[in-house]
Amino acid sequence: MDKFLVIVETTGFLQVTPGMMFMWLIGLLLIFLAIFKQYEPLLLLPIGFGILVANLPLTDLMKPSEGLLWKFYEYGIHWEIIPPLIFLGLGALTDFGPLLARPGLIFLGAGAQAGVYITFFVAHLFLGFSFQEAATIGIIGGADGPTTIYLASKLAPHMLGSCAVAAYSYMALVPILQPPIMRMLTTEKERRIRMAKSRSVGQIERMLFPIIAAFVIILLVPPSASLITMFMLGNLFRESKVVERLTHASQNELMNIVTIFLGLPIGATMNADAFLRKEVIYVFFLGLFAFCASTGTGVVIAKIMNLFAKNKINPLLGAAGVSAVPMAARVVHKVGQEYDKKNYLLMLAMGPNVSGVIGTVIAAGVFLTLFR
Amino acid sequence: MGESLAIFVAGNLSVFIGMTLLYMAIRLTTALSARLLKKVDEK
Repeated sequence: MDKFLVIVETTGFLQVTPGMMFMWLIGLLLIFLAIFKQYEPLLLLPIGFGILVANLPLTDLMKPSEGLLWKFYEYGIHWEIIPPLIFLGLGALTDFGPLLARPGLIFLGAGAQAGVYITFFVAHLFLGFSFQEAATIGIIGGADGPTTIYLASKLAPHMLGSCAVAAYSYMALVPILQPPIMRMLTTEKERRIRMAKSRSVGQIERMLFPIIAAFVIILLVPPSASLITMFMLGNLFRESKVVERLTHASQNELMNIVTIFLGLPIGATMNADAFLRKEVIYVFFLGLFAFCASTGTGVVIAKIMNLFAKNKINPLLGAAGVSAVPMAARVVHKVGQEYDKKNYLLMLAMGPNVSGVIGTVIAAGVFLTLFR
Repeated sequence: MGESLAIFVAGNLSVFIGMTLLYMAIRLTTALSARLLKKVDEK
């Protein structure tokens, strides 16, 4: 009988706490959203499962130096391996053609980053977050998951889980969140603005861009080197057309593998003690605010540019300045078509959309320069 | 207040400077590729 009691005591059943059970619900909610609502399933599914298993007692999955998920976290995320590898895949998937055809639209990607800094300001000044924490929350507005994870792991690792879940949740909600802001800040006449078709971009131009861009951005913001190096290398793979195997591997196999190793440990960082705090609720509200502010500032910058531009820009394009590629560009196209069926904004919106990715990396690099 | 405002301004300014440099880099890329293409055509 004694032996039996010892076995019973070593099972996890008696160690379950209400906090753990609450985290199971959150994990199950994310799994539900991923499977049945298709909200960013590639990330939310492993994150949800990571939350579930990390909140089972006595597993030691996140025990330093020993736990399996701790090793994934430490050597994958903390050692800066996985986010740059994701960027390699993103670079291989990105077409800079629309941006090269209309370089002026790059400023819409810059404008959308103002939301990142507005949120930083609000989080620090009014809610008492430290500079590092406020920067990590602000970058959610860039709507770039890997950059958010990268910055959080550097500046505020204790907020990694909540910031990553907030970023990916709001990215999945782009079609719901952005249109009301776009409509609020533009007139019907502005939404109907048609823009000339973009020129075609040559192969040499496409190949030169990642090389020159890597030089410029890394010289300007050296802490962004890890992400930009891999991003532009991936794009050079794609545009050179001489390493099809590497391009394909970066876009598919590598990207898929690292996505698994990214989601699971992020979920595992969200244990009940770290997650069930009022700061986490602030993170979700501020993340939403950041996202909306970035959308708004992108649209406003487009309107400001129109004050000086000979050929007017459709200000809806400003909303694509948040990264969320290509969802934000699709939303711009869809909203534009509600007012003019023959207005094709999709390819035009891809320009600010990819510049938004670069803008968010620069914003993260600036934060790293100041606070690391 | 002062320090966070300074970071707010400096951060936005850095992003716009970065994007301006990138804009110039794109212009340079376009000019270089046009020149390269012209040389190839001449040959």
